Amino acid sequence: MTINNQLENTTLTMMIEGRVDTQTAPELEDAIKASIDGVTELVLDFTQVAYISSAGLRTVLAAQNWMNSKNGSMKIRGASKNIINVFKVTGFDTFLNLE
Amino acid sequence: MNEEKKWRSGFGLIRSYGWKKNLLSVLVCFLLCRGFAYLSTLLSDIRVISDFDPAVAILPIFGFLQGIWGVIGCLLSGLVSAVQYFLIVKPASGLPSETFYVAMTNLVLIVYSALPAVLWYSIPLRGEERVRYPRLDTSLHVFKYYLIMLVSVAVLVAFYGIGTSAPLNTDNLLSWAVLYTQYLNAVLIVGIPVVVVVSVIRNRTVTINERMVLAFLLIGVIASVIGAYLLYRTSYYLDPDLFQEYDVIVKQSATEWSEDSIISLERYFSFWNWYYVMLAVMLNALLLIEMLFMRSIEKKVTKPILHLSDVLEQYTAHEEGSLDPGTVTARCKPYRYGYGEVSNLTRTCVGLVQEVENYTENLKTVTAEKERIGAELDVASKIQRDMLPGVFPPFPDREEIDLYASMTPAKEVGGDFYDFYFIDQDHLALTIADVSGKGVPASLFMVISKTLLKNHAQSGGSPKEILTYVNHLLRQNNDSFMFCTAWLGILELSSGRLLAANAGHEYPVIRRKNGVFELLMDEHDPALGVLDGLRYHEYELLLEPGDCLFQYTDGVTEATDADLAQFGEERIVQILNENPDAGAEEQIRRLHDAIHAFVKDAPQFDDITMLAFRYVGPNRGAKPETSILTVPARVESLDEVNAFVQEKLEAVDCDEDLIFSFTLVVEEIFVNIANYAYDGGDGDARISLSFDPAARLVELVFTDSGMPFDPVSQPDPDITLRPEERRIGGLGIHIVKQTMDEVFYNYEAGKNVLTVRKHI
Repeated sequence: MTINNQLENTTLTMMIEGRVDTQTAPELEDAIKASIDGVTELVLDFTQVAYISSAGLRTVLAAQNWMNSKNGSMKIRGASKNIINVFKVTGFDTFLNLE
Repeated sequence: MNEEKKWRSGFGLIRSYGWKKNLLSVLVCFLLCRGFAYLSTLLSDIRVISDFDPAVAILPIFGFLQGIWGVIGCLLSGLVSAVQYFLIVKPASGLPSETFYVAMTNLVLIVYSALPAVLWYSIPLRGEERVRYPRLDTSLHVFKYYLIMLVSVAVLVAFYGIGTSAPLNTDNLLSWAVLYTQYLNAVLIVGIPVVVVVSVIRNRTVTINERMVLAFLLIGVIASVIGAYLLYRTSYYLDPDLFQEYDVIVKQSATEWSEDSIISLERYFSFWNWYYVMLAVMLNALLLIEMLFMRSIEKKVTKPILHLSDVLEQYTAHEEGSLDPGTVTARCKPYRYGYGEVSNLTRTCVGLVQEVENYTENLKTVTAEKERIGAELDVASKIQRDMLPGVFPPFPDREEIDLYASMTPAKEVGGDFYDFYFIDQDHLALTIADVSGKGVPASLFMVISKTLLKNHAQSGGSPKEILTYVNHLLRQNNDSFMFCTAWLGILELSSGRLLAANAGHEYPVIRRKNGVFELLMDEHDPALGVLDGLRYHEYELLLEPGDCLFQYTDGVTEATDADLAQFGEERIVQILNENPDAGAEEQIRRLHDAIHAFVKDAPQFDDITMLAFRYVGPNRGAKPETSILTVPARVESLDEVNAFVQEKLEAVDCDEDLIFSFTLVVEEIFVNIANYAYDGGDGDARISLSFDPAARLVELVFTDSGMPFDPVSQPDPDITLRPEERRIGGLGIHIVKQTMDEVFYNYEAGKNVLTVRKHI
């Protein structure tokens, strides 16, 4: 998994490429935690994400909670059909801002 | 080449025709000369008043027509006359011996008979490459003949003058003129018909000029005879004494003639002399008129027509270099303008040539178009053939069925079709159909019908629903009232339950429980596309393993032999029962052979389509394949587990979305085992993956020897909660339960066994 950050004013876009599974999810979580200081809007670009497991879901949930606690917002951009399906199965689609 | 030279150099005169023909020419000319000489002696009474002598006319004609051989014939005749003279006439009459005179006469004869031919062949007309055999086919040839005869007769008269030693002077001018005109009249009146007749015999054709010259000649002769008679009667009326005196005088012997008698005779002959000169003038004038008339006709009619005919001949010539329409038009240009018949003809011909050209061009376009359509029809026919499933066995991995079908089109493209496909893993659709009509319209309708039937069958529904809906669709915008009979059956392979509907198609043939093949009198509804709003019916059959079904189109039952007898359903049933246990392909092959043997050489009128099916039975024999992987229960083993599962699923044609789901499930379960089963200690996890091809069922069994834990009985997380209220755990097993068809847990022999199943 590779992550590229793009900061524009207080909007951070994180372009994630690869699989977000049990092994890579902690890495993503650390990366988000490290870069959201002063960020009001977090965009997780999932265009290049091929796969997500429940570990990845937990990271997404954590990120959402962090942003909520800072009164910021978070978006998921370009998630594939299969990933959106996982969000739906787990009810994550009710609170995630999917683009 | 040699002969060509002879012609060119004007020596047609001494041309050889082969010795037999030459000899014959000599003989014929000789005999004719003798005949005419004899005729001359018979006519000697007339010749007292006229020097009209056919023998004089015939001499140059023989030379003219037969060349040297005619001359020889004439010479022989002359020699006979000479011998006659010396042996008979001279001794009897006591005339003095005139050897010189006789020799001269024969010399004159040679010259006179040869001269016309020499002149004819030496003087080519303008534009004539070589002088041909004498013919009076054109006005110029008549003119040439006329001039030659003027000269020849003049030469003869000159010889005559030398012979009689009576030089030309004003006193005897009239008698010279009379002599000349008499000979000339003879070569015209006798010569021209002879030349024409010989020419007609040789050429087998008569030109218009030949007819005209004969007609004018005849008019001249008739006019001469009538004129002579009228003149004679008039003169007799005006001066009857003259003729009465003559009658008296001629009865006297010359010694009794008085001075007056001689004067009377001179007066009498002088009258006739003038008369003959006048007639000669008239005859010549008529000939000249004919020549001028014909010359004009030739210029205005004959020549343009010949030219036109020549141009058209070149135009229609098939070799290279035949004229193009532009050249034809250009060549016809001199005659195109004007109001005469020839101009009309020329314009019509030019028009015709252009029409022919347009027509040919059009024909080319049409032919090209036809070829293009033919080629496209071939392609269309291939596309249509390719639309029917043609690879047999169609489903090699499905042992439940034995299926074969064939379609033999009558025309290039036809309206019959068969079809079979799996709606899902357990449901096989069988279709056979026949579109009304033949050719392109039928094939178009066939494509629509086949596509609609398959599309609607594959999106679910029972046969009656499919037919009802397809009928509705086919009825729309179907202004040409095409329709399609169809039989559609959907078989559930696992149970043998067959649902079928028949839209006006033939009765299927069925074999139940190892019995015999027989017609199934199933329920019929109207053909598809006939009536809108129709509700179709369906019926159900429960097929036992070994049951067979055979379907066909009317091309089979109505296959006709030379005596117009039809193949019929009974024969189908009979052929099928001859070998009821034969496979589907074998049955269809045997039926094809039977149809072929039945119709023999009679043409095939309709597409021949057949579909044979045998229900082997539900697939219970096929064992599910199982693969097992045992790895240390650690998160690091996840990649190995994933690779294993992915490989096995790809081998059974699992699509990417399903692989995603399985990967997710495997990760959730495996990570759970790795994290919790051995509570941080070491242990193994065993993953077994089975695939049941009959049910297309994938089964994954996870086994570990860790602490007993039943994830299935854990409460599901509340997925309606807001994110901040969410708990971390429980999501994984929730995803597993949601994604798989079956999930269950057992604790067996000290092991956790978690089984998940999904149909793919």
